[in-house]
Amino acid sequence: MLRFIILVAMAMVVFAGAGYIIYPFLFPLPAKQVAVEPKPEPVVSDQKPEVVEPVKPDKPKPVVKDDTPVDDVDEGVDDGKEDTVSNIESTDFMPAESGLTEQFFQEDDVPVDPAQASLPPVYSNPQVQDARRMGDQLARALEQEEKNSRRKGYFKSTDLTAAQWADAITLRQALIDKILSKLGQFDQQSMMAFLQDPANRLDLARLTLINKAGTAKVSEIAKSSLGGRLLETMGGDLGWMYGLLYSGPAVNMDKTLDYMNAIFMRNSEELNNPLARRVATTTALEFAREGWNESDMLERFSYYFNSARSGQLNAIFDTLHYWDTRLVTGCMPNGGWGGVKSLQWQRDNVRLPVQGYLDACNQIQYRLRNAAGDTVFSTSDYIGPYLRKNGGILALAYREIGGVCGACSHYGAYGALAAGIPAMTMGEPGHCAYTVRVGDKWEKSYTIYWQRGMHKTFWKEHEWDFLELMQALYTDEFKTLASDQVLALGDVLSTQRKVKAAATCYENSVIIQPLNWMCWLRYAGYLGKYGKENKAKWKEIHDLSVDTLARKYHAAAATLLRKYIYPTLLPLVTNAKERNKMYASFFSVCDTHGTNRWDIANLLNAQIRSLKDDKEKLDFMKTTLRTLMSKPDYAPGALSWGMDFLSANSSSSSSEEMSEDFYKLVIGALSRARVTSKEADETWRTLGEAISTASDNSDRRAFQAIGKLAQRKFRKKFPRTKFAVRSTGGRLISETGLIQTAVTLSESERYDACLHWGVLQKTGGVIPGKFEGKAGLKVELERTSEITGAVCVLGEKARTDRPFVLEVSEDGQNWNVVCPSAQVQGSTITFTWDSKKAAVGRFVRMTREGDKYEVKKILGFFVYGKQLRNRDKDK
Amino acid sequence: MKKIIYQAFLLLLLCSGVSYGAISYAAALKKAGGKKPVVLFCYGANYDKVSEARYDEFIKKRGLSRALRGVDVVEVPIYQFPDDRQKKEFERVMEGRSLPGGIWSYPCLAVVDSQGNLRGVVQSADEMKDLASASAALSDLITQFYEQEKVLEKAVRASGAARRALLAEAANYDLAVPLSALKSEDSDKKGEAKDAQDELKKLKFDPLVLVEKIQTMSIEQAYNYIREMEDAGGRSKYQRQEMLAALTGHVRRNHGSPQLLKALYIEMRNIDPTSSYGAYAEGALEMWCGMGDEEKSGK
Repeated sequence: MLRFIILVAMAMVVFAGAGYIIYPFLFPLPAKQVAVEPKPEPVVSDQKPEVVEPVKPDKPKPVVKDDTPVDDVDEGVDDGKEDTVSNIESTDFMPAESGLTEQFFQEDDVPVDPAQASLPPVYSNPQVQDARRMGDQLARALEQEEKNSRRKGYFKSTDLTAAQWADAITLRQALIDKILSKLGQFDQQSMMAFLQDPANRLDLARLTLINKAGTAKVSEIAKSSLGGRLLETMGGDLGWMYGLLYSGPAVNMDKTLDYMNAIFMRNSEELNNPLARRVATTTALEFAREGWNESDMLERFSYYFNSARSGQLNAIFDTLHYWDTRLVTGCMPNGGWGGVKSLQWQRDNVRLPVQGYLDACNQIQYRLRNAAGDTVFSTSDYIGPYLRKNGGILALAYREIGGVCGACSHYGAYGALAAGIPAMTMGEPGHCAYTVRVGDKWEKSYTIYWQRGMHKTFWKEHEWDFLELMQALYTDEFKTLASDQVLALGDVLSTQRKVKAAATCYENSVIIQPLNWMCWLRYAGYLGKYGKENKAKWKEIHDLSVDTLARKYHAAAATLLRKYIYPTLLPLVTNAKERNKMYASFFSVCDTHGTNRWDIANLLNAQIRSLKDDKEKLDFMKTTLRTLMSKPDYAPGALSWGMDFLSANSSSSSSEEMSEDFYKLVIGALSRARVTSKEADETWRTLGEAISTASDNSDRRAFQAIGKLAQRKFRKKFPRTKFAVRSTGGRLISETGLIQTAVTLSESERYDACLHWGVLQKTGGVIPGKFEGKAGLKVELERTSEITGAVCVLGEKARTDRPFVLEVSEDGQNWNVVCPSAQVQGSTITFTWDSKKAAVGRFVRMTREGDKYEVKKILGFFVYGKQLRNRDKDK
Repeated sequence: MKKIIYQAFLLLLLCSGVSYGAISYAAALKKAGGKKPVVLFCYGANYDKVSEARYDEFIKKRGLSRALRGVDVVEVPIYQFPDDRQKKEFERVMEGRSLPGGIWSYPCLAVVDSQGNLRGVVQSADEMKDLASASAALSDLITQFYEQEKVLEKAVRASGAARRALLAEAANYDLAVPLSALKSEDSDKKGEAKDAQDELKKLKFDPLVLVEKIQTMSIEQAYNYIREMEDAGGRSKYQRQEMLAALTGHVRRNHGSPQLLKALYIEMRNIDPTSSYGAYAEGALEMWCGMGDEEKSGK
């Protein structure tokens, strides 16, 4: 036996040496420690849920009717725990467009230097080039400085003590005097030479900090127990000051200082730790900017700092700069998703490489109702009971119970954010999607539509283009920093009422870095203050933005023009020809949509609003359409805009005439368009977009015109064989109607929207359907008719568990049920009723009782009867 | 002496050893031979310090050996922005196969059957926090795997109510029951295996269909309907909880008896207090039935 054991042991040693371990049943198994939870996949939170002792099953007796309402027991039970649950599953994810960001220019009570009293004249081309060259020089110096900082750190100075910071009024004046004395004649050369010296840049940053936070706040902080040390250290370190002042909007700086002070009071030993500085500064900046409270800010700081320090975040977090760290540490709370509990759970339970977060949304089962039948929109019923038991971890609750687009997208985005990776959710019409930054590129996920609004933004502009603009801006790190320096100098000079020099700085800042949105706003704001009537300077900023920003960031440039330049410039341009030329110049640099499709309607509306009469408007429309219809990306949007414009102005006296001209123009242009294989796709898309807009506007005539045109030009896309559908009596009266679905059409569905028109034709087409409550399929007939019945053909076998209902209306508002239950045979749904009961109406609606029923394809919808020819005329 | 050598040889054959590192996914599946599972240790290889620590502890130092019990472990490095060398490394391990769906976090220990179906994963933070927890969870999954396989084998051979009961029993393990797990290699049994798969499909009912089904019923009708479904048998614990969730939702929204609602939530919770709908029932007792902790625990 002994020999046997020795032999076995020897064999084990041999196998172990060869890279194998024999699993011996001689070894005891480790004791079972964590029970794996039953399906779905096990998830264990950081905070262990209470262990519930199993209770002996207690099967209730068969039900006996009892009328006591359940609600009675609810009374007094609410302990407020549902507060952690937000109404995140609202359908309203699309952020509204924000108004103007007003610019304020602080000015000291100093006399105006006559030589500096007015704006500089319009730059000549060489002057622009000079400004650009000097900016490039500064950018190169900053790049070199950054390289050097890797070895010996950024420029530091210990010339200011806490006591000096505590007397901020005196310090401010000393800094102003010092800076002004070094600026010489306030010409471009001396100003740019001033910025070449890091010591000057540090003084400029110090002064900027005092100006932004206010002398009172700076003094108060400097006098607090740690604040003096904080200001001494931070205010003496150029690298840290860059992070504080030039990593995005530096607003509410007084609050930012309070928050940083609060952080370092609790973590004073970390004052020299670069990680702590970055996390503290960015968290404080974002919480102050957003107006969020201090306790949440401290929690958020601790979460990211401790997670990063203990190596629990994705390696990407270590590579972030201040600006993109702000996107992470300043992530939106979004009803609990940004809460530390949920972040912590996602950090530990959704650990993925960055690309993996684009699919993480799929970890949430898509469902509108939980197994109890409660809808996701009634958040507390839907998820409340589960949240009570899991410690309020939203991400875990949704992973267990499931959710719809809001939960899926938040889960994906906040999974990445929890790991320290920049990401954000975004609204699309009726939908929530998200984006994660993979490398330097923002990748979209869970998206269904081109229109989207970001939920996190630096400049209160939500369009996708601004996200791309922000990325490009900070990727071009040193030019951006150079323009920020020039901008900061401009702000200092404006406080001293050096109008010419300040305006020069503002203008140079946009020349140096045209992607710097804040520079544009400051420059336009300053022009508004000192040159409201200066047409030449306004024309100059217009042309400069078109020539630079608009070349790639079309939507951002359009926003700049529409919100900040046109309102002052357009009243100064009285000549229609000059104005049209100006308008055309913008689209001449936009061949494609740029970074993302954008809504050109806002810009075109701003342009057309400046025109006086219908003739000017029609001329503008013709010119614009001629330009835009030749650009495949813009043609659908232009067409939709025109239709929307006419629809909104249908009450004007000449609307009928304008409308006629418009349709002639459009149909003519589209009919003439050659449909080569290359152009076919774009033309089909243009028509699809146009017909969708016609449907959205309930414009039956346009719907029919475009449908017919599409069929003429794209016969092969439409079915050719007629459906074998038997009439319910009378003629087919829906062929000339307008069909509308309750589905929010995705981009690809809008692309094929001409097939919606086909659904009303004998040969059929395709339209997606959704039946939920009173939402279903609606048809507007050409005329009021006597309706005998209707037939709907689905692309799938129709569900029979609930009845389909047909309603008729004369006005599209008040509906009468004419057939409460259709006959369903396979995919065909037939509505008939007693022929003696005449159903008269112009609108027909098909609905279905019960829960949402989505039908991918409805192939045909046919309404039968007789048109009442004189009825509409009589009205 | 001959006898001893023979016994030692047999023992070595039985304990065929557990491979670490070099083995590819396909080779491990082949080696598993339809009987044993394979464990995939998937870890973030170039972006995650937690993964690196687990790799060191679990694989490099062979910490998982005891838990594996002769099951091969395949190291699957997951790279962030992989370069060419890293892509090749991944391809070498996976040999054209992709990772099974259902893995939600790295590092993790995925237990797959010989057909590559994911049967269970040790992936939560609590399970993966250290070697002891991961070993215990993995060992438990492997034990359950063998037990569930036996039940599934019986299910393939059984028919009617017996099969339904066996399938429900199989579903009660903390492991997925993939349809392909019911495939029989014996061609004569193919018909039966298909029947078993059909049974399994029936088992995977959609609770929302049930919600809609009972929506128009009175509370009494709905109650009796659910009880009939239960009595027909062949339901896993989780499904029974879902069925009761549908019923309780119906009772609550229609202002049914509070006593009934409470009793149903207690029953729902007690089927399996650790499942998500067990936790849901527990929370519902607090939210809608005003039950405090003492009352809930029966004190």
